Amino acid sequence: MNLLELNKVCFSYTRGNKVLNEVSFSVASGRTVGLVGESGSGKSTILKLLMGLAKPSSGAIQFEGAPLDIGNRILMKGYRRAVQPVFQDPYSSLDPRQKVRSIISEPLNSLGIADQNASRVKRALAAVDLPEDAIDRYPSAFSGGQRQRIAIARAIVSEPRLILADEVVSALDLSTQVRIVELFREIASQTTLLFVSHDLAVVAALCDEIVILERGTVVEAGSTRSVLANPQHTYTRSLLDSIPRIPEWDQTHDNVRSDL
Amino acid sequence: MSDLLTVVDLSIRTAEKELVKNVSFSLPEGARMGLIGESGSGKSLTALAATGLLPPAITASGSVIIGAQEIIGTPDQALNRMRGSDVAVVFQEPLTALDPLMKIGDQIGWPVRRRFRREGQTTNREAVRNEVLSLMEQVRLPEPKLMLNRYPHEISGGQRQRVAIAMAVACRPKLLIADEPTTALDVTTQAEVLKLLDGLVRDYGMSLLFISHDLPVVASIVDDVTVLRLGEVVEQGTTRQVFEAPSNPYSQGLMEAARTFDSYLQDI
Ligand SMILES: Nc1ncnc2c1ncn2[C@@H]1O[C@H](COP(=O)(O)OP(=O)(O)OP(=O)(O)O)[C@@H](O)[C@H]1O
Ligand SMILES: Nc1ncnc2c1ncn2[C@@H]1O[C@H](COP(=O)(O)OP(=O)(O)OP(=O)(O)O)[C@@H](O)[C@H]1O
Ligand SMILES: [Mg+2]
Ligand SMILES: [Mg+2]
Repeated sequence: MNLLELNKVCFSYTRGNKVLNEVSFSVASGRTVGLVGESGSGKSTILKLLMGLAKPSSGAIQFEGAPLDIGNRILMKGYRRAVQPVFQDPYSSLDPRQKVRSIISEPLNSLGIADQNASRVKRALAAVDLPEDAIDRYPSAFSGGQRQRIAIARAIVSEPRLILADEVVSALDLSTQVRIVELFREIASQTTLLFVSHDLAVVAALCDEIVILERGTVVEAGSTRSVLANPQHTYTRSLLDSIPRIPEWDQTHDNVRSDL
Repeated sequence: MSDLLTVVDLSIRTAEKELVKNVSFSLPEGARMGLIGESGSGKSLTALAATGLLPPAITASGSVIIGAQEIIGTPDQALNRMRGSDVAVVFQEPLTALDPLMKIGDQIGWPVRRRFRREGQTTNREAVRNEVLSLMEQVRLPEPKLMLNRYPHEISGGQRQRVAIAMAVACRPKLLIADEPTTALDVTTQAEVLKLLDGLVRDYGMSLLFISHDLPVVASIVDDVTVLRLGEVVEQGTTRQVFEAPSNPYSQGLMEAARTFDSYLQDI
């Protein structure tokens, strides 16, 4: 069954042009879907609508077959229980006055999960490779990549049914990325993941399906393997072609910048 | 060529812990160096110490010299004068650099006006606005005229990162420190921004300290690399040496991971 379904969703901000143009795709229960596109193409805006922070100008979003209606308090309350977001900018999404312990346990508290609160928080911290003593520090005492991992720990601690993740591994080095991707893979076996990223390699490693967005329009969608192996749209091809690779140095060129 | 930035035995610590230990490197005028290492290895702290911007609870010892000015122990006021003209930073999290209540056009206009004054140019509205628009185009911000009037929360994450780059570049500093400047950018936009940085270094003889976890990106833009692990330098050399034949097992691991990821897409 489809957990999420977007049907011809359009959206404009009050100050600005149309940002989303008849966006349709669905996320089946238990699947991992990558949402890929250029900077400014509308990826975070889609997540904003899915979190119920804004309403489509037209079109509809359905969760488990029922329309997502921001006005319906009871429905939205149940929905918010099932969904956890990880925002693009960890700096602004972590409350600087709270210690890591209360930041990570916040979803548990607001959902009224009292059972094994402390051990759940500990497990989430360990899962994202942060040391145990991190729990008593404030967000400002962490590096960029560590803050990103605190945000991930908060999202997974309540074992939500749907995780909306916005560029959550972009600040991480590869070995940490691999560990986090492995973590998401594990989680993905029990939950559904919509994974926004501009990094095709990460999406290829993690996602069953891929949706490619160009300036607010879905230009290609399908199984990750088939879309990346045989991209139909010029935009998808150009994304694949411009991925930077570690250069092969030859005898004559000590410098590779000529190809920039 | 003389060194623009010289770091000698830099250590950084809190009351409880040493976070960076005896880091030394130097950057000649017009040179580019990459600072790499895992998350938490001390890259950003090193960059902050180099500009005297460490948070109050953290102390640095050793020496950091930019031009002829010792940074460590120098009061903030004195350092303020060199910020912009001698050194500018693109911070890892662009929101930290942006004033939430100021329109994008005004934020970029501020360093532009400062540089115009420094260079003895006219700072009338028209001249500043034109330069701001030109910078916005150089970092590939779409519809710059519309975007001038937006606030930071009214643009996308990658667009914010490009505003931060435009602000640093607007200073035309002798030394540009860029901390993960392209993390929020897709590959096509990233390529444009790298080309811009490359051009600035070439055209104005700017020096570049480039921090990134993205090794292919690092390899494409810098000549020399310093590898950090748990706050200590484990390897230093030309980009080619470090990438082709890393001598330290830790750097070997980093390179291997990068090549494995490279091959992941090829396998499809
Ligand atoms: N509050 C707002 N008011 C007006 N326009 C906005 C607002 N927020 C975002 N936009 C614009 O909407 C477009 C889509 O933004 P969005 O944040 O969804 O992009 P994105 O795909 O997440 O990009 P990135 O990869 O850079 O994060 C951008 O052009 C952006 O400038
Ligand atoms: N204010 C602080 N108080 C205590 N520890 C800190 C503080 N700031 C940073 N640290 C610690 O110092 C170490 C180095 O941090 P730094 O921000 O330099 O890492 P980084 O190499 O930039 O990592 P990333 O790639 O994740 O951004 C980290 O382990 C971090 O937890
Ligand atoms: Mg975004
Ligand atoms: Mg950092």
